[in-house]
Amino acid sequence: MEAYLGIDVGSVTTKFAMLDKQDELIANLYLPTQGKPIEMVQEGLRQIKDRLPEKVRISGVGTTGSARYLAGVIVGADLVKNEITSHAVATLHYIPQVKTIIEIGGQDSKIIIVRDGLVADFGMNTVCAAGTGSFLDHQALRLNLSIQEFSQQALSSKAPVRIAGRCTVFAESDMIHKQQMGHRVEDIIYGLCRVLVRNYLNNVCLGKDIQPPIVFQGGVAFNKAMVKAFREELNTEIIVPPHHEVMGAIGAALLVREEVSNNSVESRFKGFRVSETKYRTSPFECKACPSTCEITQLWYNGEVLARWGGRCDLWEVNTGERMRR
Amino acid sequence: MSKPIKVTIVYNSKSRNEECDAYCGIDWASAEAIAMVSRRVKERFGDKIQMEYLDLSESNWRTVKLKQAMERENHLLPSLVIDGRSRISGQFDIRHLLDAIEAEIETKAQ
Repeated sequence: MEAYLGIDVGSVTTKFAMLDKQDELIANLYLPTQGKPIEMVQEGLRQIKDRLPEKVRISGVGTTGSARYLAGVIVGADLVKNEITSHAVATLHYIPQVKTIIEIGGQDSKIIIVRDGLVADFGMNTVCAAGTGSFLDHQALRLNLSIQEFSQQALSSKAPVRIAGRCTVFAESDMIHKQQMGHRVEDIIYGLCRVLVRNYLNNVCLGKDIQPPIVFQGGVAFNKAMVKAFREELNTEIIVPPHHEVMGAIGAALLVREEVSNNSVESRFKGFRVSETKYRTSPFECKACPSTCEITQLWYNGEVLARWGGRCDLWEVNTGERMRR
Repeated sequence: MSKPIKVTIVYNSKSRNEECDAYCGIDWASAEAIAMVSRRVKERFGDKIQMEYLDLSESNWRTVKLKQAMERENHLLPSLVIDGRSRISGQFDIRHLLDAIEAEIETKAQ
């Protein structure tokens, strides 16, 4: 049986999706990255191998996400794609009539406008963490709620409170202030969901032609209160696809299947043994500018496979160059 | 050879980050920062990209018109505009910039 693997390594979560030749999802995984992208890629490979039917041959591997080039080097990817392309391809596969894709992940968010099956426009988030999944996670943790409890409690809100949510620092202090004023937790957290949705629409979606059908994906789509807040704000149905959290990985798998099939090439996938490979990392201080960033180098068998950690990507680009060759 | 993609960074060197005091992202008033960004874009994408930096604190017919349009549409500064379309409105760093350019290239190749 032939299969195609997509890996989406984000700063907060690492996602895996395995498709068969008919583009059916046969296995998927959603793991926390925990600041250890290499280890999580290795762990993911170990886990997904155990979920596969017998006699599966990996015919292609595609990577996406913020650590897509690094993941590509580790596994021997056949294709490395931007998240915009990967998410659009996956959504169009499941919901061909889609016109707007809302994607909110742990650290990044984006909007993709689709017309006639093609990406017509897109927008991305700013460097500010306001409105990201990590911020919601942090607030849930602060209130001692799981993200499921956070979502359920927010859905029970009867009188949402207005939260100052332009900035994460002010949002948190405003939430604490509203708690001290005696507002109910469910009203505060649904108020937070609403302000995050408004921020996203006023910032990431500025000037974008949002039309239904609207698909909401990424890890934040687990939060049903965010789905409700989008529905209320946009006054239309919001579709959350069944595998919304791994759509980027599915897109990477679909893209690599197409690439490999069109070019009839052998996959460069290094095999599941990669999960047992001992990589060595070593840091050094970059002196190219006054920022003096600490750069981490990834070594294997005396060769530098990748570098990362700079405020610019003076060193990171080597990984990208390697993959583009 | 196809026409290069035009990447415009719109900023105001006299009022950095009006909306937030966090000073995240790149200081576009710094000539070194602009040189670094230009170099990184060139190294990564070669001649596919044409960079343009528009400082709205400079008063000329183009910046005046652009400033009015951005205020009308509630755009934040700095703004990243690629081939005339807004991609990021507000502070961004080199990773966001390179990501947006890469997405633009992939989108155009559809």
